[in-house]
Amino acid sequence: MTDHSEKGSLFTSQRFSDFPSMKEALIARKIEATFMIAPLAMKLVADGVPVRIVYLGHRDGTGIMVGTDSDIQDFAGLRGTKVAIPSRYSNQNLLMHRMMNQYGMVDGDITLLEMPPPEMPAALANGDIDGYIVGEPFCAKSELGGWGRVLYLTKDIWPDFVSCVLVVRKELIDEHRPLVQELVDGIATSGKWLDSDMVHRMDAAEVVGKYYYNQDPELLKFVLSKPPDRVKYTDLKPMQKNFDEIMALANQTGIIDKHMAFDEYVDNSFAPDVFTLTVPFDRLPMEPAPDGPGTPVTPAGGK
Amino acid sequence: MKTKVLFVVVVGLTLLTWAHISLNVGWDTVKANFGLATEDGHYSLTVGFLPVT
Amino acid sequence: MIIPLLLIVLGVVLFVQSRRWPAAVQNVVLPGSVALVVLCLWHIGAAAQERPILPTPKLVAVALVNLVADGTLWRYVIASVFRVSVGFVLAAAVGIPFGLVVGWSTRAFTAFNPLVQGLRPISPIAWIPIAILLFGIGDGSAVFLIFLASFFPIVVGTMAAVRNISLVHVRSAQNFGLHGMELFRHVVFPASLPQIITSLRIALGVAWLVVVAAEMIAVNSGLGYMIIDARNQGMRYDLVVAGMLVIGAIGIVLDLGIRRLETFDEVRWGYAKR
Repeated sequence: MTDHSEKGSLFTSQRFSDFPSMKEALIARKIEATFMIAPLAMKLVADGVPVRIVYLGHRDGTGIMVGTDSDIQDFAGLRGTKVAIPSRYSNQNLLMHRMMNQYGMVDGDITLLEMPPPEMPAALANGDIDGYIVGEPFCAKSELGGWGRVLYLTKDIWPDFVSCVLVVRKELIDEHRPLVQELVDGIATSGKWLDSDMVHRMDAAEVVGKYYYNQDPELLKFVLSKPPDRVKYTDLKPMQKNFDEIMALANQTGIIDKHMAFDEYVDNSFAPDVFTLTVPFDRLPMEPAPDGPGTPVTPAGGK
Repeated sequence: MKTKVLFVVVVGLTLLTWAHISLNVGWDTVKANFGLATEDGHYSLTVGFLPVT
Repeated sequence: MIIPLLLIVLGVVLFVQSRRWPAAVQNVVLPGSVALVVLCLWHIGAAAQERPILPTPKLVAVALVNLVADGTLWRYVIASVFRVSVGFVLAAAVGIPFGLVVGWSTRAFTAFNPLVQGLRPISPIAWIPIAILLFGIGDGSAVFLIFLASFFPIVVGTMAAVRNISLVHVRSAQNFGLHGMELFRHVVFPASLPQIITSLRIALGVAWLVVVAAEMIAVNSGLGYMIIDARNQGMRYDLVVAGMLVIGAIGIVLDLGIRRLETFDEVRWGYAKR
C-alpha cells in the first residue's frame, strides 16, 4: 500500500502462479525477496541457497475443510480419507502430520494429495477428495459455496500457525540492510493497521481483491472477519519455538533431511517492536496506485 | 514478395511492441531496464507473492 | 431447456437441407449449423450441472462484453500477440537459415539431426525452470518458450524441404553453371519455399498453442495469464472459457494471415489446387 516510502525506495509486488516458478526466480536471483511457504524456505537454506527468513506474512489463516454433508466430525474421522495439501513443502502438510502424531496415526492412514490451491474447492465439490487443508481464501470459497464445512481452523489446533514467511536473499541483507529494514517495517506497519480496526480490513479486502489479487472482495471480507481471528497480521516476528517445531516435523516427514538450528535460516533482527510503530494512514483510497502495472507491495489481505 | 513480407513484419512488430509497452509494461519499466534512472537513484525492490494466505 | 433443443433441431435441419443450396450459402450454413448445435449442447450440459463449474454460453458472453468494455481484453490480446509474434519471428529468423544449411549439407545433417530430433519432442513446460534461470520472470521467459515451441517445427520443415528438392532441378541448374551461393539463392531456396511456408504455418499454430503455458510464469498480462488468474478467483470460470474462446478466435485470424503467404506468385506453384 505504500508505493514510494518516505525514504524514496520503490517496492513493487510480483504475483506468481505457482511456488516452483517463484522458487526458481529466487534461486536464479531474478527476485531478491518473496513471500513463500515456510518449510520450502527452510528447504532452500538446507540446499545451500543463500536466503533467510526475516519476517512472517501472517499467522493462522489456514483451515481443514470437509464436505458439508460428510460425517467427519473430528480429526479421527479423517482416517482412511483423501485430503489435499498445497505442497509437500507447506506447513499445512506438516500440520497434518502433527495432528496425525496426536491421534496416533501413521503415514498412509490419511492419503495426502498435492494439489494447486485454486483447484481444491472444485475437487471437494466433485467429491474427488474428502477434505483439504490450505490457506485462505480457498477455505472460505467452499464455505461460501455451501459445499464445504470447516473442520478446524488453525487457531484451534495449532495456535499462531506459521504459513508463509518473508524470504530475502542473503546478499540483500548484507549489502542493503536499510532497504530490508524498510520493507519489514512497511509490512509490520500494514499488519498493525489491518489488525487495529475492522474497517481497515474491509478497506483492504476491497482494494486488494480488486486491484492486486483479482479475487472477489466479498470473499476476502469473509476471510478477514468470520471470525476476526481467522487470520492475524500482528505478532509476526519469527519465533524460535514455532520454527523448532516446524523443523522437527520436517525432519520427521523427511522433506528436509538435516537438522538446522534456528539461526541458520532465520534472521529476525529486522522484526520491529510493533508497539512503537506508528501507522501513518487510516482509511484507504479505493483505487490502486497510479503509476502503471508495477503494483505496490501490499502485504494486506493475505501473504 | 520479400519486401512486402519484411515490411509487414517490421511494421507489425514495432506497433505491437509500442502497444504492449504502453498498455502493459509501462515506459518507466523499460527505462529502468536500460539503466535510465527513473527514481533519482533510489532503490527498487520486487517482492514476490501468491494470492493465497 | 426447450429452446436449446429446438435450436439443435433447427441446426440439424439446416445442415441436411443445405445440400441443395448454392455453394456460397453452404459455406456459411454448414459451419454455422455445427456451431449452433455445439453451443446448444454446451448450454444444456452447463445448465444440467449440479455444482456449476462450467459456465453457460450466456455467462461467457457477458464476461466477454465486460472484458471488452473495461479494455482488459484489448490489453491482454496485445500482450499475447506481442509475445507470440516476437518468439515466432525470432524462431523463423534463426530456424530457416539453420534448417537450410542443415538440410543442404549432408555432413551438417548427420551432425545436427539427432540433436534436433531429440530436443523437438520436449514440451515447452519442461523448459520453464531454464527459461526463468536465463531470462528471469516476465516477457523474456514467455518469448523464449514460444521461440522454442516454434523453432523446431520450422527447422524440421525447412530441412525436409531442402532434402526433398527434386534432383532434376539441382542437376539442370548445375549444368547451367550455377554453384555455391548462386545455386542456393536461385534454385534451392525458391524450390523449398512452399514447404517452408507450410512449416511456418504449423509453427505459428504451435506458438499460439503454447501461449497459456508461457504466460504461467509471473507475467501480469495476456490471455494465458487471464485463464490462469481466473482460476485463482472465486467462481470466475466464465473468464476461463472466455479466454479459451478468444485464443481460438485469434488462432483462426493468425492462420488466415499466414496463409496469405501461400498466395504469392513465387510459391503458388508449390500448392496443389483444389
